[in-house]
Amino acid sequence: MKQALALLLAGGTLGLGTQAGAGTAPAAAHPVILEGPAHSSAIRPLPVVDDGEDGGGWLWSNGDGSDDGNGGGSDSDDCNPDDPACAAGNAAPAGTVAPPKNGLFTDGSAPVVKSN
Amino acid sequence: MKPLLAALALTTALIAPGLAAARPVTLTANLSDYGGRGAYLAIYVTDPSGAYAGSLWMAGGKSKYYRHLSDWTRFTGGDVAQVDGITGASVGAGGSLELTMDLADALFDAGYTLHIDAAVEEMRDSPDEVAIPLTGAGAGQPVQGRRYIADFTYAF
Repeated sequence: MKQALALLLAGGTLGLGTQAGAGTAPAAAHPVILEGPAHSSAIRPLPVVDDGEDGGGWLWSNGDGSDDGNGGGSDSDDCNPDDPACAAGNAAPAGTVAPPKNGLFTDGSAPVVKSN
Repeated sequence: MKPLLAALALTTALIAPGLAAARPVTLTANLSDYGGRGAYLAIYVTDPSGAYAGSLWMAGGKSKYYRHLSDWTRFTGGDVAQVDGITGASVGAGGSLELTMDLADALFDAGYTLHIDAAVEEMRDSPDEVAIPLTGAGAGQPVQGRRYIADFTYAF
């Protein structure tokens, strides 16, 4: 996917370059360096045109097309969930610790969840 | 006998208000078939002044995505401790989330508002997907979300 996008961008750049050079001396050929696909799983926010419907104008992509947050209602990941390092920084799942004492819940009561 | 009755009355008087201070509430969100991956949902409450009061649930376990729940993040600074113990899986397109929890009576008919922020990978973020005043009259009345939630209901 990234390669296709890179080629598309490169094509657009070359095409624009040709248009910009119309009526002038042909530009000297020069090598175009395309970076290979990055194998980072870092999140890359991608700006899109805001249609003014709301304040959100961002997509999220995990960069490698993995199936994070898949449509099945579960959170698959690219690391072992049993690995403490994998879960570092994430919230404690329900049932593993008491809910926060924020005054909204009866102290000590835990929400019961059904999801499908 | 009279001291026993007096003690019973006293303990009842002490315990009953505590029991009445909360009620089981069921929150149900039915998601539309938006054709994307699982939705992250942050369910939280603001007080009558519009200030953050606390979180009720986080659907979605990876905190790296929470910044896409932008209003929740603005209120909390992305503090995952706000949802420790009340976090579960994201909810798939066309799926549903049903939560039953004991909520404080003081939240109802007192100007509190329940909010849901929603976000889906590679799709538009939807802060305040749902914003619904918590009232007795509003219980059982479905409301439509803006983008991903077909309908949301809270019921006693």
